Amino acid sequence: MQDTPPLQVESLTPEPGAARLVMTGELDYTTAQDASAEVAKTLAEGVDVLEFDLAGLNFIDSSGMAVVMNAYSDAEERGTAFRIVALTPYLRHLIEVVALDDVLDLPG
Amino acid sequence: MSQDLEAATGRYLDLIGRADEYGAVDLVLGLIDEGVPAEDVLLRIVAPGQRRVGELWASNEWSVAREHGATAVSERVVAAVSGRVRPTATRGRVAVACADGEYHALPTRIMAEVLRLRGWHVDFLGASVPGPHLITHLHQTGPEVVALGCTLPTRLPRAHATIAACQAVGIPVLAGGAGFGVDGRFARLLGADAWAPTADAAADRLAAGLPSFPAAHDGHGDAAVHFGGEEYAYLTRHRADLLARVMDTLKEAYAPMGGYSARQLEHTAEDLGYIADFLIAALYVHDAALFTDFVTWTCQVLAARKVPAESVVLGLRVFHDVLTDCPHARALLNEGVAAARTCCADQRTETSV
Amino acid sequence: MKGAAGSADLVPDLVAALLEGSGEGIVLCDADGVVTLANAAAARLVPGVEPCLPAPAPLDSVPSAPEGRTVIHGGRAIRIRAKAVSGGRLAWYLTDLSAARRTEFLLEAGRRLSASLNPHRCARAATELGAEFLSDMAIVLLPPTSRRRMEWVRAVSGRYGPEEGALPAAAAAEVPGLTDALAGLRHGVAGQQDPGGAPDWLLPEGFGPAGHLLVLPLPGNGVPAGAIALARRAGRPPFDDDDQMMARDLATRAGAAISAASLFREQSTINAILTGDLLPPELPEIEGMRVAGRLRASQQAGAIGGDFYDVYLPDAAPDSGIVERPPLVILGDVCGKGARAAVLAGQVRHSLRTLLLLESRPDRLLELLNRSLLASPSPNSFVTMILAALRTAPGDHVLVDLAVAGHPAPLVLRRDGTVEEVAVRGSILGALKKISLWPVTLDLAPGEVCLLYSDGITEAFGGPSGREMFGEERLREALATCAGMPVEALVERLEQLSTEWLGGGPGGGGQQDDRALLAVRAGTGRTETS
Repeated sequence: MQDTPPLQVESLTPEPGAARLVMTGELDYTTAQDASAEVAKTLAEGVDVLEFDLAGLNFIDSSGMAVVMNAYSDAEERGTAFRIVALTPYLRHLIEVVALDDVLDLPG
Repeated sequence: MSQDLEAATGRYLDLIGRADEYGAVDLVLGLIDEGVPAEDVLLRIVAPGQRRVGELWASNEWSVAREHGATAVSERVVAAVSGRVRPTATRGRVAVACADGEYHALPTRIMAEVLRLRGWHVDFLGASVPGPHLITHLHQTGPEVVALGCTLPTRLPRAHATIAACQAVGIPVLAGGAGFGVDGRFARLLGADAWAPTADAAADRLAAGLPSFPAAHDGHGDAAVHFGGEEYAYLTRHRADLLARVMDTLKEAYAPMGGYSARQLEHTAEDLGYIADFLIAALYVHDAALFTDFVTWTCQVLAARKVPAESVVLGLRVFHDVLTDCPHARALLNEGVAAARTCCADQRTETSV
Repeated sequence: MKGAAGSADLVPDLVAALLEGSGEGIVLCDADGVVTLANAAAARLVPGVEPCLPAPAPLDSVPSAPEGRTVIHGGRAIRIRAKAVSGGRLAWYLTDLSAARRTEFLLEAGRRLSASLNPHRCARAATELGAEFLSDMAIVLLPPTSRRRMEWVRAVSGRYGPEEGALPAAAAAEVPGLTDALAGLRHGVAGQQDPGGAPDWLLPEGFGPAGHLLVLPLPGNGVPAGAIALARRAGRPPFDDDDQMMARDLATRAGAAISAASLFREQSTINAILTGDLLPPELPEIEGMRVAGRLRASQQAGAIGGDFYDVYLPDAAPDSGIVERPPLVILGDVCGKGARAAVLAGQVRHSLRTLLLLESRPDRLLELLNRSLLASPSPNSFVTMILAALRTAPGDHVLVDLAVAGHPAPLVLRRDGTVEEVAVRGSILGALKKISLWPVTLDLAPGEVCLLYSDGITEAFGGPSGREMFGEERLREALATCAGMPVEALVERLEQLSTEWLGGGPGGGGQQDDRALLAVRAGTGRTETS
């Protein structure tokens, strides 16, 4: 029935030294591992800035949130800046519920 | 004694209507202490009281909240009775469960308690038991029989899957509850090994012995029924789209809906959802009476809330017009319209008298 | 092709081949009772039937009934039917009932023994099959347990339902061949034993003396799965070769079924212990209030999620060093699903139990838990939770000290039916070195309710359109309709509404996440109803 994979991750280079992962679809228990692998690969390339574009996510669960939180702490450990450049209202709500809005760099 | 019990039933209804848990528990345990058998307390006070609660809700004398409160108190009363009277198990093991999606657990809970009082080792699995949970339990405990409760016929397709799954693991099924039809015809149709209309009848039926292994249903004989069929599958899959289309059509056909609040619209959608569910269930078991009985009951419930039966006719007609490619569903809907019209006529007679 | 070959000039080749291939025995005799044709099946069923010779017994007397009669011949049950054909000749048709019975046995054995994954049910099916097809009594003895007892299941032909019981393992020595059979060894000729040596317990009361006894091991996965004994009453025919073959077949299938079931039982026990840490506890009575909870696990096998709740009563005997504190309820959600989530939830609950011996402030407890989760070597150790310490206050009030970590804030149902979201929040645990918490204390008047819930409730996708989220607004509205309800009814109703929202029709049942609800109502219910 479903032609497209449940989660697509596209890697862009908005400026030199920065990497932007654009995630579209569902970030959940079944897709979290693929997303984490993509994050690990990007960080291993040694970028200065890691950006997430999450405006195209139509579903996220606790495993998906774990991907975001792991990206934040892994980036911090490497001294890489981490920011979320785009997200859905629902995702913003979730980030507020887990009280990470003070910590994460979110779009205004 | 029987008069005493009748008076006690009245007092019981009064207490649960005020959600007075302590009062109801004291009353019932007091009767048991006076020597009234626990089974009589359950079947002649709690069960009739609870039936009356349903009637009072249907006739709009009690609110939903009051009905829920009363039911919760009855649940506590049944638990208190089972805590007070604990016979040792002298018979085999029985798993008692409500069909998947079935939330009216009390009648099934009462059946579980009556079986316990009659010496069965009972595992009561509760309301709405998903198939895989039930089957895992059966493998783990190996009971002699499953007693499956179903109050609403809309749960029949899922109850059917559960019956077949229990039998496939070699355990016979006793079906009980109004959902299987007042005469138990759906229990037979869905291949249950036995049926009982009431909790005490269920206990008697189990005492008489069920086959220790369910009979084989080859499904190819003359008696084989083709459950559901294409229209059933179509409506089940497209229920949401169908309801959306019915809502839109209804808005055009019925001007006052334009002024409905979001909440009123949601209630309307909910009511239409019930129509869809009963229609789907009636298609599944090929039984028009299942649908027309529901229509008649709905008309009565709505009449008690000053909603005329004409609105039901209108809703059914919209379903009929939207389901262009479903001849069986349309035939059922036509019968439903006829049943609702009868209710309209009755209501006119009542108001004119 | 005995017989038919001699009559080849009478019958075209094709017809001869057809006759020869028939499973039914066919014999043609002339008017004098001399055999003119007999196919292979006939020769097998009645040895000695040969063309040009007079028909031997039992083909020498014509049955009166048109459906024929059943005879025992050469140890087999054979149904014999005779039909007059032209010229005063007689055609005989012979059906091997033993073979039909064997086919029926194989079908039934397959159906019944493959059904259950419960060792007792399998043993039960084996005894019923034995008593139905092979003997007057069948008993299965399961391998002795560690308590040196062996369980048995016994069925008797024509009696309703098998009986079950247990015996000291040493009793096995009283039945000839049984000790060997339980050790996986077959004893005696094809398992036949002297029935005179059987102890009283082997046979049911009123059975009478056994004439023939067969004792066979039930082969399992490398270790024996038990033994089966089959008995026929004195005066009945002995177990012949076919019977013995069927008995061995029954033992093999029953052994395989029982050992597979035992394996399943072991694994499901391990699974149950693991996921047991997610099961909600029985909620105790707490003075001055009522607490009720509901937890519903996801339906997908292996995808049990990580919702949990728990109650921690104060230590019954406050000892030196153990802090005094009020009762505490918690509700939480661990990241992930399945056994991994269960293990994490178990760790959180046990850590908290230990921490509570030394610390009672909800915010401090959450900070300590966060540290221990950060130190956890397993990945994704993220937890959201609510801690609620419950203090009774004068006038049947309850003061709730709330601390929330990354979890949806609780709702409060006031006495006038209004619903408020408690202004309390805090960071998720296991993600940050330094968490931020904003704890509050809530005052509940008698009859007022504080509701803790997991996001599975509000994030249920469904509704009339099938695509809409249940949402916080609907939950608040639903809670508002519960004013005055006993707290058990309240949680049940909310859970039901959320499930019906997911439901999507009678056949459906949308994707279900875990859902947890825990409600605390001030007062005991007796005071404020009057």
